[in-house]
Amino acid sequence: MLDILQADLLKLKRKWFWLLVFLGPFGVVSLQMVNYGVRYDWLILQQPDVWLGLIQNINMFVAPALLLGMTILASQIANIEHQQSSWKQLLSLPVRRRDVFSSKFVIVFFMLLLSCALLFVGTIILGVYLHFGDDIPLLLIFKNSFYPLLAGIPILAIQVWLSITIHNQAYSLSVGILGSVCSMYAYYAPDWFIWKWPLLQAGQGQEKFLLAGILAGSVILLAGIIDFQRKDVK
Amino acid sequence: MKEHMIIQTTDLVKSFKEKAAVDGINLSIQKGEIYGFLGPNGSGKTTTIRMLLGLMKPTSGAIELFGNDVKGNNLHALRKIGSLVESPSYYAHLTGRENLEAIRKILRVQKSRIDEVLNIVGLTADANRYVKEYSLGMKQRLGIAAALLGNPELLILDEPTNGLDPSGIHEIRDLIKNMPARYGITVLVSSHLLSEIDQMASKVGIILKGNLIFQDQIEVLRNKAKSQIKLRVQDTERARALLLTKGIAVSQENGAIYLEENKDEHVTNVIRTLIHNDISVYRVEEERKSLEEIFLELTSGGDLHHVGHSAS
Repeated sequence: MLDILQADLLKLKRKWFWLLVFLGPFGVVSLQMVNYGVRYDWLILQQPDVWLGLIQNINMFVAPALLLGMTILASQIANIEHQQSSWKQLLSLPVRRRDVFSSKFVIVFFMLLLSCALLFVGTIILGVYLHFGDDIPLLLIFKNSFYPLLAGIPILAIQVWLSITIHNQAYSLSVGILGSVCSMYAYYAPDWFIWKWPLLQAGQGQEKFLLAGILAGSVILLAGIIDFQRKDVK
Repeated sequence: MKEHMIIQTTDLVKSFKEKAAVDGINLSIQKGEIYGFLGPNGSGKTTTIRMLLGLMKPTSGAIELFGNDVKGNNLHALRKIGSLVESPSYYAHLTGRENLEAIRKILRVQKSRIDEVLNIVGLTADANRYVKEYSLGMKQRLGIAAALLGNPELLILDEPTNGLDPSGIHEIRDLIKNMPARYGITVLVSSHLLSEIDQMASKVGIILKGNLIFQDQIEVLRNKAKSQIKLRVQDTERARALLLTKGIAVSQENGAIYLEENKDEHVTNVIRTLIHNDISVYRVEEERKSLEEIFLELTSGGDLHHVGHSAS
């Protein structure tokens, strides 16, 4: 498993994926920079707890950005193998298919984890820049930065599955973009709608969605692996 | 014998939507052979090879690699196999060396092995160029380098010369021919061109519409190409009956007589017999069948002549 991961990392060389990892959180934070720049006084009045206000504003854009990131990264990583039909070469090597599949999943997951870390740092920098004071709610910012990814694992598993098993990336990209758009309006969707989970509005049973995300994510990942193992490689 | 068997398939079948692409194939390939897997496009060669490599699951039948049934777990066998299936697979944004490195990490062989295989396929000078700049021949050679990387005991090459220019074909052919002698590697090489297999293989399997219609040493196929003597005579029926009573094996076709033996004294003997019995001889011709014709006869279903091994 570790050797496959190393090989997969090598294949990322000279690809612009790492830029994307940076661009996501950078975009989300800069949007809020503009937001606060334009209507600082009004925003401050809306939420007397200025840090909480910032977190809530950032939260609005985290889910759609994260889902787009999952979609694009999963598709691009799978496409490295699709492009010159490298699946047949890779799977003719002494490798377990479940390791090949998991490796792709793990790589995308860690890239997004890095994005989340950048978002965490970015949020703090923006707050300090806006003179919100030294009383930084680190735990809340941490939850706001990382929980959406964990709650979104089922969606990541679906994107990786679609991207790997369907050669034509139009399918996985369509599903991913649609999901990302839906997530923005999913506040009132029923709880089973997984594209709602990464929203995680502050203080509304976040841990429930977190746990559900990890559980459902594992199930979907496993289903993807079983499907991939059965597939004939063209 | 059994321990020298590298590949052995038993009634291997693969169906796509009820249609059998491979229909009960029994391949047997022994250690040290170069096995030429011959068949027209779409006859089931690649499907068979994909099953050998575990890329596809057989609908029914069994595969034994290195004497072990590979059902369920073929990792052990795959470690000893290097392969190149159809069009070359590569990562265009990486250099030749990086491509091999990505595979080496999985095979866990020595780093120096990369230089060795680059040297074998003659890509040392271009190792640090991006593969997207490579010609098709170079990509193909990179594919062979990748196949050799893990010190395989068995090399499976599917149409390795497809799309190459004559010099590229020549290079790859030489490379393959030397494998058993120089590195002790058994080779399974597929092609739709008989001439190619004829120049490389020691054993031939011919596949047609999913059936293996011929499998034997290449000499057996070549013997089929031996020349025949064709006689046109006055009274074909009488001549044939006469020769048969003298114990001379002949066959009759299209109003002519064919002698199976073609030695000079034998032919003289036959003609003398005919003349002494007042049968005029109009023509004596030597007919030589090329391998190509034999192949075409075999692959057209074997119903034109009696040459076909009707195994199907």
